Amino acid sequence: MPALCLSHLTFSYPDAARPALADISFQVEKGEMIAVVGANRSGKSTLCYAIAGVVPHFYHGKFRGQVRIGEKTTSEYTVAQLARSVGLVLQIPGNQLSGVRSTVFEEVAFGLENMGVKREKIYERVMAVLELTGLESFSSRSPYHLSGGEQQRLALAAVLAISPDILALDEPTTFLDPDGTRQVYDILHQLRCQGKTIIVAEQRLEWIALYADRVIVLDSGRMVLQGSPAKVLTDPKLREAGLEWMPYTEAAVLGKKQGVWPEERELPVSFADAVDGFSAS
Amino acid sequence: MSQPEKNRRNDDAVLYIRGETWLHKSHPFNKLIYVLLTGVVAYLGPETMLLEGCCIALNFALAVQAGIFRAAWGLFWRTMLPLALFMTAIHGIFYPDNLTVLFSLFGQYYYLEGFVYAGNILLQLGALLTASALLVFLTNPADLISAMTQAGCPPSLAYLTGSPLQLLSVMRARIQTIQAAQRARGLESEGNLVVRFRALFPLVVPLVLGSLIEIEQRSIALEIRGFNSPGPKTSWRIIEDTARQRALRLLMLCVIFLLVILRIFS
Repeated sequence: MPALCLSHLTFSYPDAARPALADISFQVEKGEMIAVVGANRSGKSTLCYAIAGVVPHFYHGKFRGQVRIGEKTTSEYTVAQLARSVGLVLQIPGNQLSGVRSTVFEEVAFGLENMGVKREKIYERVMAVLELTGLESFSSRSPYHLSGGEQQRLALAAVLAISPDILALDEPTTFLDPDGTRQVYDILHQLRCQGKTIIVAEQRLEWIALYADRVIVLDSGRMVLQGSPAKVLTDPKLREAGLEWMPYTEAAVLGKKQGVWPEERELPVSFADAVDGFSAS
Repeated sequence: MSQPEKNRRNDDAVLYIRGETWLHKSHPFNKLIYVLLTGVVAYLGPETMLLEGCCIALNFALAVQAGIFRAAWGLFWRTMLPLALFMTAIHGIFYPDNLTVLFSLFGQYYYLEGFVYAGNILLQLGALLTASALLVFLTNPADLISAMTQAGCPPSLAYLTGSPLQLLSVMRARIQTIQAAQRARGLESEGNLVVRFRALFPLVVPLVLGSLIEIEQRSIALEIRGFNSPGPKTSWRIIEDTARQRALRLLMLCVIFLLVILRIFS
């Protein structure tokens, strides 16, 4: 059974002229990392919300189709009930703080307290995720005194503490520098290796080329492309969806025209691929 | 604010000033009930300015003991001074029972009764304000929320009570950011009253809109962390509640009850 299954999901916000998501269907296997890309207002955030049950329980609107988490259908459970199975990391980390906890440790423990986890277990689980996210030295610091990158890792830690099987992340690296972005993706990679299923909405194609197993492209709420990063990120349709090819891919296309990129070789989606390709010609 | 007070506050993005005094360690409910008691004494107790003055003096004495005098004094005068100027002028002239002329200024008479009335209101407000300052500066919002949750209050009520204390400084930081952004775009926000008033609108609109968006996001964040999940909740932070603390709380509640009864039957 797939870890996550979306069937003909269509959702319109109240009074919206067009659906935010239109007839979206795909499955995600346990331990897979899926990247969802698309231009602004393409439906990436709404898709993350739908996976976590925020749509249709928090944002009411016209909801058709089905989102299944294992055997659960999201429309039949509350967001709080789904929180044990699906973790959602929002785009702006500061907004994800509870607002009622005064240290990083307590902020991470907040979700566990809500779930009724015993004190001794809380300590174990909080320390484990603080170590995983590299925040153990900040445990007694105020969450409001962290940098944007540290707050983003805290938001991730707070969700991970609940230990959901599926993680949906809505542009988790928007406010991060390259080093902070790498740290977040390294954590996601570790989680995937532990068997977590990850869906990440992202604009930065170079990172998903390195880390994602599969890429889904959304355009105006519709799924227009799906496949491996190597296939999707070099597809001309990517541009029709309002996205640009990466510089490595562009360079290889130019190289092909000038005869410095091997004709039979696939276009590159990473720096290493590009170096290999140009060296081989 | 003294440097130590400032440092202690800067460690946390809240109004709470950290410390280890017995007042800091008092149960949050005791401090909350103390505010209620002060309010009841000031508004329902014997109508004498001496009693209200004593309440203020006691609160400042407690503030000194807790090492938060400068913060409490700063809040007190910044709030009370404009109110005092406004109220003494209004009541000194327009109070309906005005009889005894004290002095005249630019042809306008000022009366003793109006000043006394304004003074009484100001002392009542001052008593309540200084007691509230003790609560806000000496209570970690997280302690207040945990105490409420442990006492069986609905989590949403505990959140609504404690989160404004925690988020006040976040709001203050946002105001400063918006102010800086507006100034960078040429908006004058320093100067006389008219200039400041004009600058208010471009400051308030983004603040309110930003806050609305943040509230929505924070609600989602709470939901996805199981805030409304059914079943019993646990608490990492344990708030100590000794027999002495409970006895003090009971005593204050009895005094409040007696004052209310006396007021009803007097």
